[in-house]
Amino acid sequence: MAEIAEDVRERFAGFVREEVNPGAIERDVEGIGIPRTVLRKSAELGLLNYSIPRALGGGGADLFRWGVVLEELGYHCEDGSFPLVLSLHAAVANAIHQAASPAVAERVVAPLVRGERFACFAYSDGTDAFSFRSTAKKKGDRYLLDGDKQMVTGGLEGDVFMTYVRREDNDDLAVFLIERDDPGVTIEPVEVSGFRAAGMARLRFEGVELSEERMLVPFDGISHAQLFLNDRRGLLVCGLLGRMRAIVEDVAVSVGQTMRYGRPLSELTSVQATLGRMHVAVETARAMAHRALHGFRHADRSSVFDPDMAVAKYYVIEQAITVATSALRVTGGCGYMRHSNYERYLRDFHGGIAGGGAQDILEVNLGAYLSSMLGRRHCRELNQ
Amino acid sequence: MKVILSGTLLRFVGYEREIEVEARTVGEAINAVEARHDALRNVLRDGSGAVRTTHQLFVNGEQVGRNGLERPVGRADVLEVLTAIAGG
Repeated sequence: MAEIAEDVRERFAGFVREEVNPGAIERDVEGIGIPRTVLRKSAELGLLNYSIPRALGGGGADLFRWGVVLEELGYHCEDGSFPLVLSLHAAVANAIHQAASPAVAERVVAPLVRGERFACFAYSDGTDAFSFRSTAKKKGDRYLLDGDKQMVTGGLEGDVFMTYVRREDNDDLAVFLIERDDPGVTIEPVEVSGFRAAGMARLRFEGVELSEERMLVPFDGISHAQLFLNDRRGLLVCGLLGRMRAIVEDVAVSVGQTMRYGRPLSELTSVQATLGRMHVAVETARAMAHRALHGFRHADRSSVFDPDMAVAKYYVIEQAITVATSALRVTGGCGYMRHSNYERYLRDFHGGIAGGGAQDILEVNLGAYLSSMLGRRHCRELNQ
Repeated sequence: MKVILSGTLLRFVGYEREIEVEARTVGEAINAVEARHDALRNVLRDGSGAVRTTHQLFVNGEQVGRNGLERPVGRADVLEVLTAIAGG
């Protein structure tokens, strides 16, 4: 992993420091998305497309390596939205490539790899997964789509939307590609608390007429979405991990320079204990996340619910919130100032509560999984 | 044998968590539950009639894959359908 960290430092850290970090606070205050010029440059540098297959013009890295790159990026990058948007774009581009016809893949995926267009995952329908209201109605050899996707990360700058609608001809969820300039598509900004530069948007489509080739997956879109989200859990936390490390280092320096009662704050045992707890939080979160990333190389890749991915997502988010809160507590009034960035990072980490499956749902799913597997096995052994 | 459903599936079976059925295979057990609760069919199966990947099947705590529908089961066995769905 040291080799990957060095690669990130050499190839991308300068770009992040000079072209991404300077606008982080303004983007957060104004709710402005990461500029397209930055995303395009990140493609030119081989970052945006790092995990996209070489055959498509990408870097060809596997998801383990990509996760470590995102972690290192999170360490260098003061805008948590940047690694989030990069990882989401690459995941959607790969998913489109896997499902689309060769003609659609050629037309749609190639510009995504070059960073000329941007891809989003438009799933959330404001309902449970079996009650989606967004629909596709068959009309001759075409489909008419009507729907409302209320939370689309990256949607403000998105050009291509992988979206999920209920087909009226088979009453099942299908996956379609909608494009920004399709007649009937509207995109509106959505105010959020954290990741404010990730371009959260509401995507509405009314009477959008699409050819059949825009249908990526004809049925069981629920399973398609769950497979997609399963991988997202392992990757979306990586950027946060890097930022957690940076926060702990920043706090350690800060309390070493802050004088109270004639000595550095870092000499107070309560402060040392806080730093110790923050370090434990970071290192245990890294261990959980790296175990999940190893799963990309070794586990059953067809799993719609990999408990390791769910545990990693759940645990890293909880620890990230703890680390940012501890930073605010130990630095007092200094940490509360906007320039310290801790409150912004805390809001970003809170964004992770909902992303990739809400924390409370993951608790339920993990409990049900254990009950299905271990509880029943235990009962069977008792009965033997 | 007993079929256990949980979470999001319960509303499609009138919140009947445990259902006793007569079945020789996992597939027959699923058919029997669907026969009793018609609304469950579209939830368990996709547009092609296959059991959705998102439902994970466990027989006595051991996970069976998509090809496990032919697996023989007996009266004392328990089939559990886990639907670990997130996002919506």
